[in-house]
Amino acid sequence: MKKHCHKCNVEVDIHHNTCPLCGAYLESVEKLTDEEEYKQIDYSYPKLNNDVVMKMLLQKITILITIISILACAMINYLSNINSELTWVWHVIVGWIIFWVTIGRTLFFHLEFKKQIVWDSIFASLLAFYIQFSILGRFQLLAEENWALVWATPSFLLGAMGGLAIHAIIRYKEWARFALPMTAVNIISIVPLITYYILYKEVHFMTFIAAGVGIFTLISMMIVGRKKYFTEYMKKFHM
Amino acid sequence: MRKKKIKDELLKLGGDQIREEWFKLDNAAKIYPSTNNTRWNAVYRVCAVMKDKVDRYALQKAIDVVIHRYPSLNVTLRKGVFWYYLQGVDLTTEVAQEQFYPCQKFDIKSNKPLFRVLYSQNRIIVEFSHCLTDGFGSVNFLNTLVLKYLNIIGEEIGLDNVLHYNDSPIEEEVEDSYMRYYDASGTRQIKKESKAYHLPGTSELNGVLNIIHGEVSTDDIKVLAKSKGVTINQYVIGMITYICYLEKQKDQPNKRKKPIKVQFSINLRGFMPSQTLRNFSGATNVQLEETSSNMTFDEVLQAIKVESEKVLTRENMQQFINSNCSIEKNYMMKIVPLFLKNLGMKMAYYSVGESLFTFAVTNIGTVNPPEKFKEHVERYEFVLGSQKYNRNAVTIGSYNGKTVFTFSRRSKSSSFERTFFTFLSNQGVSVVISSNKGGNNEKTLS
Repeated sequence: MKKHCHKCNVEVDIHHNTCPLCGAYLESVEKLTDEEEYKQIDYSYPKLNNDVVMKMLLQKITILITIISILACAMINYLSNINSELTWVWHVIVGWIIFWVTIGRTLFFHLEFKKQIVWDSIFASLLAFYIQFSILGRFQLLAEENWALVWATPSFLLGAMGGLAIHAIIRYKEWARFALPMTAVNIISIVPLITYYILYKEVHFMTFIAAGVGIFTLISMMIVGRKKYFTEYMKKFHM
Repeated sequence: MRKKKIKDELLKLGGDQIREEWFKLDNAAKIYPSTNNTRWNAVYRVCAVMKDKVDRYALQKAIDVVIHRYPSLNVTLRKGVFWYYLQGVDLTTEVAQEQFYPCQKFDIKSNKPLFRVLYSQNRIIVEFSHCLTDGFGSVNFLNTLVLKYLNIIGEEIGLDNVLHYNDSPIEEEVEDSYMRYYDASGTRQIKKESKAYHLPGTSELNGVLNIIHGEVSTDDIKVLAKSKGVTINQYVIGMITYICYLEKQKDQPNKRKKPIKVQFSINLRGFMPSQTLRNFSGATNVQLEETSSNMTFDEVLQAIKVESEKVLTRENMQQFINSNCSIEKNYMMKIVPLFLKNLGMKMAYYSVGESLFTFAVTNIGTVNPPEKFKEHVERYEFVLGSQKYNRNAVTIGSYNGKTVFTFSRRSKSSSFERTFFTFLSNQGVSVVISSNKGGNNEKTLS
């Protein structure tokens, strides 16, 4: 049984109240018995759920708030400063960057945990350097002042390696997927050691531990993983 | 019992069972993940409308078996340094009830399969990312799924015209046929196309896709096409072009300068034999040569007939393959890191992708499943998901003497579809309309 739209001169599926083409109300047909209703093929679509659209709207609103707050703070900072310079607004910008790199990215962009942990460790290290610079106000530092390089960065990298290792052990069936982020963190872990050596011509034990753990993990993966480890690289680097 | 439960939980916690198998993306699929953004990726739907309500549990049992027959579909998308690739996995595909608009984007970073199985009242629905397969592969998958589903609910079905779920997959089914037919020394398409006219309209919110199905008798369409001396494809492209032409005449004069071009998808298996279940389709643009500002339908139809006969040749298809594969084979292209490729492909897609055509038409053709399907399957529906920049598309599929036109659009107005179906009904063709708008169950977003 079908309804008819006189405006469009087409038959319309019985489950529609209005014509999908012109929007005109359709004459109702006689109510079907339960048996007829069951036999009737149901072409209608289910109720709509607007969660996805709401999430997109939320994302847009958050982006808008970010931009407006930065612009407003920049303007207040500029107008309220006697020398017409931007001073404290940089902290607002850094605050928003922290939000987007951590909470915002998890909420809106579904970054995988293994990638999130790599980026978070790198970002946390950069943040440590930013705070260090904000406190001391200069780049040229003595070895004992440079806590971001000596303590913070190696700690974050060790944390990342530990986090990835634990995650790889838990999800042991797909451990090979952790090969690339693990290798990336392992290689990055050598950077503080080299940087410290170039700057101060000596080796700090904390940077040495981070680099050592990184190299050890890298070699262990190659030996233990063997074919799987290298196949993973073949896939990742296929041309 | 408890020990087994703990063991199962530990196994589950251990992650997805990764298969050794992995696949490079085929030539056509390479563009899709790169052009993907937070709101869009290329998704389409194949659907069998059953005569009875769908049994969710039988469908779940069916998919659990059928997925092993299609190793190139049981994959997740992974990012490499130079290209994306498909990693074979043994994931369980959960059958879900349809809840939202058709063809929602896949979260390609989520390591979940790039297809989903849904059901709703009488519909068995499978939605695919275009990274995996094209219309041919997806219809084969759907038919195998329906076959197993019917077997589970106790129906005996013949094995003609269907890939059986107990058969082993053959190597050719997972090959990249573009590379097989690529001729490095052959000629390539070098013509530079101009941008096409785009239909005006107000866009819906992201994620909203309006669907209108129009069911007509295949014989009626055949008679109409025959009376004008054209094929069904030419007749449909002619109608679409004519309506675009009418819309264009109503538009502002400065927007009328660009030509109308209808993009028509082509199953390359019709030109070059292949059994691949991955992508092996192409597309060509059929342009209307506007001779005057008041062309009649017959004039448009004849112009389209001439133009389509000119472009739909084996030589053109070979050139199409050569051009696309030569880009992939280019050494410079190979060594560029993926994030730069993604940027380049995004820009290329915007400038020479969808901007080159006005309307997309895909004809899946006639679906010929086993004869016994006719007792259980009422019709097939094919839905092309929203495109990134163009707002409208139509997909056509025939089965058991019925042809279903499915218009999918991101724009609010249904005036194009109204003109199309009214035009058909005025030619004496009986049209039955159904839609995801205006139904009893509908809850609009506004």
